[in-house]
Amino acid sequence: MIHVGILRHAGSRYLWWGLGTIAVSSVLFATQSGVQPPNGGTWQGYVLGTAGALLIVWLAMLGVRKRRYRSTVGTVQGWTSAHVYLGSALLVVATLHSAAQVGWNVHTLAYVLMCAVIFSGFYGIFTYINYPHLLSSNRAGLSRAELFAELYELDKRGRELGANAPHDVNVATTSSIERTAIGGGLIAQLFGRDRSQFIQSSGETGSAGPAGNRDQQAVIDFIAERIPRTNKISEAELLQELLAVFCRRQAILRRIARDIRLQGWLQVWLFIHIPLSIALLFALVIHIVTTFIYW
Amino acid sequence: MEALLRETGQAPDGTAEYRDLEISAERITIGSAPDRNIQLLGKNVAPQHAELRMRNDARFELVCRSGASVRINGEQTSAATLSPGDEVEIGGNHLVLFEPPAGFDAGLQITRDANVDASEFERAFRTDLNQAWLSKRAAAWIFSVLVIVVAFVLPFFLSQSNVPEIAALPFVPDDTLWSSGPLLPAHELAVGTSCNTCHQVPFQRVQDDACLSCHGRIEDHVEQGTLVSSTALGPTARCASCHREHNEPDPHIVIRADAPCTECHQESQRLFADLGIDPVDGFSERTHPSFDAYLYKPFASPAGTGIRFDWRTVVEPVSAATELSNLKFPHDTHLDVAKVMDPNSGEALHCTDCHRLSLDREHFIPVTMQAVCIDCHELTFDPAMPDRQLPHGQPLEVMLTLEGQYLRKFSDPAVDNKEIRPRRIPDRHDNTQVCVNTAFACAAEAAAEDIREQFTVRGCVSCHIVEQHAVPDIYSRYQVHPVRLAADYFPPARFNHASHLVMREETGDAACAECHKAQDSRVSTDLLIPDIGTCVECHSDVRKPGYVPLQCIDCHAYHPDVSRFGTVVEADEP
Repeated sequence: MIHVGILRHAGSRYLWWGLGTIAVSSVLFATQSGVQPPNGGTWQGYVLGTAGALLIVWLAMLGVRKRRYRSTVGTVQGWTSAHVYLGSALLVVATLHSAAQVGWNVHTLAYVLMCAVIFSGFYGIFTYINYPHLLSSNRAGLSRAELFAELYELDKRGRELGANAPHDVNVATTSSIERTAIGGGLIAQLFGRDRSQFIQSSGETGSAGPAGNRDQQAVIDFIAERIPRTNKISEAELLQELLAVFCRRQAILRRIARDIRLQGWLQVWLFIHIPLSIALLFALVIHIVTTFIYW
Repeated sequence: MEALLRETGQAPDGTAEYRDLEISAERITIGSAPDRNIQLLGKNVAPQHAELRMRNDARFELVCRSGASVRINGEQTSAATLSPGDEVEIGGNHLVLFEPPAGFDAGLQITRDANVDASEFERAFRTDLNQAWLSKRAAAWIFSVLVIVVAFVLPFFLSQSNVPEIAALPFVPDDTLWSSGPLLPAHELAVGTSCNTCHQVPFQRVQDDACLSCHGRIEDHVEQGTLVSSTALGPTARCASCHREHNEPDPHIVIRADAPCTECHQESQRLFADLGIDPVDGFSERTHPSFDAYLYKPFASPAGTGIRFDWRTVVEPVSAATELSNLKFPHDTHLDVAKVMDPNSGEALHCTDCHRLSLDREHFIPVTMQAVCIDCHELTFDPAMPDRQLPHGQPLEVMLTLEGQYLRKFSDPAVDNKEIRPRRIPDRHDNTQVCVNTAFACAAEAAAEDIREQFTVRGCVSCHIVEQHAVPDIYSRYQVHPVRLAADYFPPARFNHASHLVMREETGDAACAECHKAQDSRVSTDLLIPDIGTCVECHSDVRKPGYVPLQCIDCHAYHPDVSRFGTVVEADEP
């Protein structure tokens, strides 16, 4: 399990590193007294700031290390474990460096960016801990490709059966297959919005039009309603089989939709964590440079 | 347009079969996305691959989305005009336009790629966040550029170029964004948002010149020449060593801690060897030297027929020092209600009857004859004219006043009593002398006797030391020793008397007596100034229960008020 590997890597060695960093920083902070109020300008403040800046650069290096597959500088798992614990400690180091003094300035900008990065990382750890088993139990031992392969086969079977079904059933089933919405944009993926449709023809007027087919329930209801009204046993059997295919389809589609949703939440924090990390590096440089421009 | 979509396929028995679908749409959308009118799967089919629109001339226009292409009759293109009979291939799928039957604007035969498998089917959907509009790389660029431009480039440009009209616009990020905290309000009032007023050279610490451009009159801690030549310390520290700006949350710009002072002063013997300054490492009897009082003392020397007094400042340890003001003043008598009482209330005198705090709350309004003592000690001399008083502080005028009084007495025909004033001769009741000489001679005789009494028996001599010289000239015979009272016993230090008017449970005279033991003082040579032992009963350099913490700068000014060193005494007024 990846999350167990990250948090308990090497007997949680980096947890102790992180706690040690927090302890040393706190002691350093507490020695600021008298001469100046605690802030980034005391010698302790400079030390805490330097440590924080080095930590930020090192934490960002995880992105580089992950891509160097031939690197032998520790394992990626070890790096990630240290990334998590030292990144958490950074929150304390930087807060002590700033002495919780905030304002509308570049220094607080760097701090806020850092907090956003760290808290998005906390969310990432939460998902890494909680989502993998949700994902695997949802997939029931299958991969997503296998789920799609099964859906593809069910679609093919649905089309075949539909072709031999009455015209309105054929239109409904074929169109529901064609107009099945899976995934989509950011909102659709994260919140499972289902805009599936199908062409529903009205028996009396002969008119046809698109209708909502969320969770494929409408087309299933449509087929189910047609079964009692059929006169031929063979047609009833066909419709029965068609109904079975579409119910099976519904089950698969639910698993796929949930898989996409869980995967989305498992990844979405990285879209904040990584871009803000890069922005933080620039904000950090600006924070340091401007401090000494106006020394 | 009304379009007939005819899908070809194979029935399970292998025969060809057609399936027709009628659609009514403004344009026919083609792609792998499920919401397309014609959903085609395949490696090279984009979600929104192409659109088919009808033209006025019954022909059709096929337009591909950017990056996508199709093959029209075998030729690769991204846009084309189609007529019935044309064949379009999109990623292995074939679309053929045919003459539309009656009632339709378009006929399109669709033959799907039979080799499409489930993986391509999966690819038709956007199932990963990377396929949504999100992009880590793009977001990183956007955030980074925003940070660089807003936090650095714009402020830097505005700080280097003089374009006040841009800087004045609201929400324009200028170099105040680089400020690490609010300025002292007075400084903000003075310099506004102009960082360069103090930060004159990039990457250089704020120099003293920037401070002195406004605060030019401030005294330095020590005179540079003296310090550099006589100590190992070298130049004094920068203003900003003690005055830290942008230093929230402390609203005061002065660093109050002892450390910057004791850093040098604890090693005073090494650093200021020649200056003879005691080492200080805090405020306790162990870490702070005993107090030295600045006294003003007379040094007498013969001059003509009398004595000349030179007054000089003498610094002596409080524990061993004595006052030498030339004034006779017993504090114990004046505080004893059995001996001295307030002429108005009849109660004992209070400290504040004589010692009135001045506006600076540290010093006292000078105690002088005219301001204080005269309330009780009148200088009347003529019973006939009780409002007249001898001029204080002017011995010659005193003598001439007395002579004048007797001249009038003996020369005025209206005055019947021509007695020379009674002489106090013990055991003789009849001791009057009647004037038998000229009026002037009688007056001179009577005045000389009165002058002698004033200067040596009961007048001036009550409070003053009077020197009697053996000279025939009466005007030169008596010399009153001048009086000087110290106005400030500790010119280098500060002390707020107002905040000590209540001490623990004591108030009023009892509060004064906590430090100044006046009630036991019989002679004016007693120095009633407390030593450090008294202060440390209530004060400590560290915060602890039962003590008021005291820092160096509570009593000592880093920037000395040198004007006070030269005016440590007051002269008794005439």
